[in-house]
Amino acid sequence: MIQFERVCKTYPGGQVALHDVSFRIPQGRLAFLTGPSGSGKSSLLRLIPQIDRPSSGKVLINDMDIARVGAWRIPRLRRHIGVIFQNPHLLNEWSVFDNIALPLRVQHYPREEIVRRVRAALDKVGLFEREQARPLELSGGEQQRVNIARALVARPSIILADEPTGNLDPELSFEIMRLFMQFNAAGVTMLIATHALDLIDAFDAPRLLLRDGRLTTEGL
Amino acid sequence: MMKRQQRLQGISRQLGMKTRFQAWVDHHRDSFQDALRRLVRRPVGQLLSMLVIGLSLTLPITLLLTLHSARAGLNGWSQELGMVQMFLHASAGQATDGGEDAAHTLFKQLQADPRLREVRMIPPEEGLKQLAELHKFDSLLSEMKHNPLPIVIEVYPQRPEELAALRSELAARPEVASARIDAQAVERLQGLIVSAEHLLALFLLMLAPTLAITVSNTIRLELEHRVDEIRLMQLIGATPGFIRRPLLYVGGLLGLGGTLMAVVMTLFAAHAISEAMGQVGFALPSSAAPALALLAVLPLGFLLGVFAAWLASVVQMRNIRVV
Repeated sequence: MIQFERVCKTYPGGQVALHDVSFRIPQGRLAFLTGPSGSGKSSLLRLIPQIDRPSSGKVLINDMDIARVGAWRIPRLRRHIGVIFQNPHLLNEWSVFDNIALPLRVQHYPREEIVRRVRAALDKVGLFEREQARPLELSGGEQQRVNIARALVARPSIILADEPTGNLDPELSFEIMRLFMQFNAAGVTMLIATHALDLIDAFDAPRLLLRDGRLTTEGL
Repeated sequence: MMKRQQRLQGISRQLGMKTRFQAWVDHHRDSFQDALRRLVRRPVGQLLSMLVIGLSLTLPITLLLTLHSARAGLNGWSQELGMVQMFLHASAGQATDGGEDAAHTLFKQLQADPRLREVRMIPPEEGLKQLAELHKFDSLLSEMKHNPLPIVIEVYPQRPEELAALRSELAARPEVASARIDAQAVERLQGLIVSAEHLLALFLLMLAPTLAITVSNTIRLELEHRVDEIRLMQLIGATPGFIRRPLLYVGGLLGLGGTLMAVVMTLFAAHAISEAMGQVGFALPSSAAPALALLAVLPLGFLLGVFAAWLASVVQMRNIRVV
């Protein structure tokens, strides 16, 4: 569950990114966050894993006010949240396998379990044969699928995606959205920021529309 | 409340303690291998770092080792030279009615004593002669009407450790005015060496920051090189300890490598010094103890490297934030 209660975010230069934003996405639901570039989508997403803190208001994850989470527990909070960026942020010196295994290693999973889960994730995103490849040997679409596999492999309860299909062709974008729908069907709460309205029109999910830092919701 | 906390603690909590411990051990092994890879990736730079550490530690360790050997050498020397010097009463030189004076009787008794290696008697005349030769005042002494020096008997024990007991025993004899152990010059030199050793140990402590600074610099460069990786790890929930672990091994290995270089260079230098000293007639005793002490320096170097890496990573990672 993700809940915002009258959240404002103002950056040090005085730029207002979010103004009095409130919404609630129940556990296991998927919502799209839309709006033009610069409307505050990324700013909103950054508040959930505590990359940034709100200037005022409350952000709640699974009914917990994350402002009350001590600094030493922030890593544990983040293990519950998978983040997918437009830029895959893969480590180019590591193999695809090692990139995907990183969240499991961080959580001290045993070796056998890591192998089992990474291979299952690779299978899901259709890259089973490429586990030893380096990211630079992959296409943009394949890199994004590695990014998605990495976000999902530790089975987080929440997935945040910031323009996940921004660099992909329409066919691949649709394929990735379908992949998200599958994970959501398995009970993962998802918030997907995108301005590809034609793409999300194909999916039946509530929308949060941001414009100049102000939010209107449809279907929540 | 408990339920929420359990949710935040994540899946890792669901793993058994044994499994988590095994995974922790696995991560240490992976971190160690990762650290080795990082060192091998830039071998010249890392070897130079180790060389800086090694060179800065070699000089004080070599001097410390040489002084240690010199002290051991002087110990043997003082034992060889150690003697009890007895000054007899003037009456001991006067012959009794029966014939021999008390000094000669004592001298003969001491010569027969199996505990003694050598016994020498210096009559007043000979003592005066030695004094005149030593201080070049023959004319002054020749004008003296009365020789003020007592009869002196010097005894060298078979076992140097019995010197003190022997001195007490001889001092109690009626013929003896006073008895003293004569090894003061050597003891003074030993005192000087001990002071020099303490000074060098202090110097070595002051050089330890060289190791720390060299390691810190390497860690800083590593962190700069891997900012993206660290940001990603922070984003997916890695604790600072997890991120830091490979860097600690890098620091430890650098410290260990540098100290190992110092040990090797020290052994060569100590051997060269020992040979040079031998050529001028002062043979330093060879002992396994300093070599063992040098081996003990290796884990210290590793730990110091780990500490320096920890300190550098704590300071540097404060500036790295998820973007």
